[in-house]
Amino acid sequence: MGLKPHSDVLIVGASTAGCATAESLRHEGFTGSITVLGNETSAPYNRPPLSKHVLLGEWESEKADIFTDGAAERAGVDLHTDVTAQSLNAAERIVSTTRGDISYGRLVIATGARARQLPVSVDPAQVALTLRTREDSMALRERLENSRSVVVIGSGVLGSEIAAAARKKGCAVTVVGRSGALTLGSVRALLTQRLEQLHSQNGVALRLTEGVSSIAHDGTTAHVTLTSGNQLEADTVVVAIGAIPNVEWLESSGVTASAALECDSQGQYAEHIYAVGDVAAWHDSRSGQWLADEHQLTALQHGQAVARHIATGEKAQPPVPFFWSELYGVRFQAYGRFPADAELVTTHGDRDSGDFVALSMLDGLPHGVVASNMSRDFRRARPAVDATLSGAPAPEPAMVPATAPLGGQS
Amino acid sequence: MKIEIDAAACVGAGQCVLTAEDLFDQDDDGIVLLLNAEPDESRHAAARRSAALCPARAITIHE
Repeated sequence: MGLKPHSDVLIVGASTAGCATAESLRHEGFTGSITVLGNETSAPYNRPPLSKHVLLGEWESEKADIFTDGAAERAGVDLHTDVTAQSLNAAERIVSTTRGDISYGRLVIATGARARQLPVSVDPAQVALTLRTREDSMALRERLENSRSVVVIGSGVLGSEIAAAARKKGCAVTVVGRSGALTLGSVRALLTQRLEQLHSQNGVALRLTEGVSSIAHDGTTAHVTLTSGNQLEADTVVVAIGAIPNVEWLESSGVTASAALECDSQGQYAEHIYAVGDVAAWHDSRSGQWLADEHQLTALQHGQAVARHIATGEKAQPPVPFFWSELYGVRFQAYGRFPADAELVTTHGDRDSGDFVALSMLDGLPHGVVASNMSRDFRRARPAVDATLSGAPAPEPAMVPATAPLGGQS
Repeated sequence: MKIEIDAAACVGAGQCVLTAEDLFDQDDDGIVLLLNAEPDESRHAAARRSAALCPARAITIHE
């Protein structure tokens, strides 16, 4: 089916955030035309299961689908897959795609991010797998089935999840990281002791203070050379060192930095243009900073806030980061903010050895809550975090950009 | 309206309970419990909001 030449709202990217925007526009009563363009061939999908149930083979990959069973059609959303946006003409309000031009009333940029590659020699390049798309997840799943040993490069949550999945598949696993700690989303390294313990108890070898200098494959085995000179051998190497926002297609419209698009607190990037999900960093009026939370719930909330703004002109409450992971059957959840100068105070359980709930305390107020299991106690602590964050005075930004309009300064 | 939950997909975030505690609860593991599958019209908006805010997309609304 061809693209219509115009859409009242054009959403570029059939990501979680892009699809949530489309769905929420209808919930908000928007009656204009909505087009969603996705550059993958398959149906849109949610990302969290890709490193969890889908990777383990517990779910068929279709269970991650969004807009199933004709839901897009029922909602009156014109959904196109396998079409790539190539450039934007913001003045004329036209997006050029691999299937022709389309003009818009409002543009929502939801092009997400892609896996960051190792900046060292990897020969051949495909020896280092990454996990970002559904296709990646299926390929890694098959490789884990056929591997005895796996090296995971990256000590963030994705690295931990891949390591746990590989252990469950019976592989010998080594996690390599440079920072000296295991991090977990918004709580950064605060739980490293507990995570190191969990991995060790489950037989994962940790090398957290070593970088990678090269990876080579001899036809049967991958050889990972570390900066210390040590070598690791593995059947499979996975690189999980973060993501890069997909903004290159905007280059001709003046976006040259390879960074998330900095939007206002309602997701507006420029006149008639919004950005949502992993490609966007929204201004947080509480902290005065632009926040890029690559989390599922943030993506959903971005979509809902932009939809409301487009449909009704109303402003939504700014998203509060929420994050979860599951490792070896232990569920971790974190809500709110974990400032570096805050103190983590355990309110339930024992943080170093088992289940717990802990608050991120700053100036006597809870700014965030993190838990291992104990979901109900975690939920009950959330309203206090909301109270702090909604009542916090908004400090001025540390620096006003030179390009900011003069009207923005007092 | 009929609400359907997928307990296997639930991650225990508690978004639904915080949004509509008359419709949802959590068990000891934090997994969603459906208290009212066919709410009155006055609660339809809350049910939709719960489904839209579920990070695991474990709530489906049939209208």
